[in-house]
Amino acid sequence: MNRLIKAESFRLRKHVFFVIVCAILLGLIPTVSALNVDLRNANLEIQIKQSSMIIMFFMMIFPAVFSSVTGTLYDGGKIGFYEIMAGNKARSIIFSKILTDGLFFLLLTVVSTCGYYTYVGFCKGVGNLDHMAVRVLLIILVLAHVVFCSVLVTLCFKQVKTGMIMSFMRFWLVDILFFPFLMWLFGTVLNMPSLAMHFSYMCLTNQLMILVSEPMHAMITWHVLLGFAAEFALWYFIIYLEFRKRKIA
Amino acid sequence: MEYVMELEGLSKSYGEKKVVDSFSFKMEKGHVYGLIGPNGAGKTTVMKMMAGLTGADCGSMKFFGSENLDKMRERMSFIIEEPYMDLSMTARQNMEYVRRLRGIPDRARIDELLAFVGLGDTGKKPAKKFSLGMRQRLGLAMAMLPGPEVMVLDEPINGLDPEGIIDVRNMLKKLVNDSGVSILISSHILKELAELCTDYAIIREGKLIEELSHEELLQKTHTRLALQTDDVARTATVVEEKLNIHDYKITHENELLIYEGLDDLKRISKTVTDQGLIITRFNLEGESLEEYYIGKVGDKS
Repeated sequence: MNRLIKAESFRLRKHVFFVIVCAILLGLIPTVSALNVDLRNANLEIQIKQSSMIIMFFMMIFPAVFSSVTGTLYDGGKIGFYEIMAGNKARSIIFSKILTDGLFFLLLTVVSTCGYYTYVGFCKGVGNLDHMAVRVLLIILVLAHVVFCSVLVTLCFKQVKTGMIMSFMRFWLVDILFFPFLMWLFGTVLNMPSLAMHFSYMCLTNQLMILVSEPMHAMITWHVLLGFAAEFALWYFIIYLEFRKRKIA
Repeated sequence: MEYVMELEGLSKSYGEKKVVDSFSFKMEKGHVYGLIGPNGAGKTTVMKMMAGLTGADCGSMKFFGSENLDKMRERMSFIIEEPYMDLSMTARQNMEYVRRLRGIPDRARIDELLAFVGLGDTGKKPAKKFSLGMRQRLGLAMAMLPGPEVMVLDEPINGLDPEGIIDVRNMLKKLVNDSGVSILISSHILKELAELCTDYAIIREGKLIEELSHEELLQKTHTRLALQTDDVARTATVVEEKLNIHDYKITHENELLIYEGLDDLKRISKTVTDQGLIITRFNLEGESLEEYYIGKVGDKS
């Protein structure tokens, strides 16, 4: 896997254009927040409560951007086929993408979002927010969930465009349709409100909103961890099957 | 005999269409095999299976006597359909990518190989600005970089100019002679394959219909006499009436191809000249690979 990571990192470094595009997109969050005159002197609690629209924008757009970069790197000139033809196992190829593209995008995301809000927290105070270290760790996990799954979604599709669209659609399908449907089904139709609440906690947007604005409790921690593990496992399994199809019966 | 590749009963269907049908094939170490077949015969699919880019519905493969195909692929290189490369990167960067991927410590080999394929001076030009011929050369250099023991090359001379074709042929010959690399190569330019290959495998409708060595091909291709005179029609009459030869044909180039009575060439020559005809060509020759192939698979190609 070392060789795969070295080769992928080399290509990532050679595509400066993508890095610049990512940096600009990721810079939008602090820039938009900083430009809001009403928030200039607000503390962290107020700023992040006011930033829900930016978070939504981030959740919708950025996975597609990451996906386009990963997809172009993997599919550009079909050079990714070398990884298979050189005899690498599916597991190694998948994890090498996570450990290069995934970690790179995660770093960009964390620096631009957490970096900005950390600055606000230090300079303007945190307000009534407690357990800041745990909150930040869990937010990073939610961001990792978004970024890693976007990389995995891309690998599932042969066409870069399909990968981008599916990364974008994942948000709509899962967070706007699937989980709300389950919440309605179990909460209203089947009259099982506690189960409906669990589904509500599985939405990434809800997780982020709770982590940045509501009192901390153990349940959100479990939902962040389990949600990440479950979706990662699901996409990993789908890609693994795709790779296995190529093997001799 | 040491086999570097053994395929047994490989089959592959896309929907209802069977593109590879019980394909079995063995490749000896140090040999150069030409995989020949019409378009859609299944050549590329078979090569994709070897490369791990597509799976087989049934059958088995062994590389270097092992069924651990992924491990063995580390000792092989492939060019399938077209040379895969990152078009936004330069020739050197593409080579560097493969060097890292294959864990080759010797960075100087990149320069050697780029010079070898005639791309040493492409500088910062990205691969997207390369001609098809240049991409083929880069693909070959990328395939050669790991120093493979087996190379599987699907149409590697497509798009090359005549000089490029000769260069690639010489490169591959040098590889075989110097490093003992075994090569499986497919091409539509059968004349080139005849110059390069030690063995041939003919595939049609996904099935291997014949496997033969170059020597066997020479034995199987009928020897014939190509005879050209100042009057081909009268020569044909002489051949039939005076020599009692009936197995002959007249080509578009007004050449008489004689397939019998070849054990006494002096008699043929003397009889023709005795009739006052002037011989302008008198050559004993065999069928070309192309003619033999057409005879095997028909004119579908």
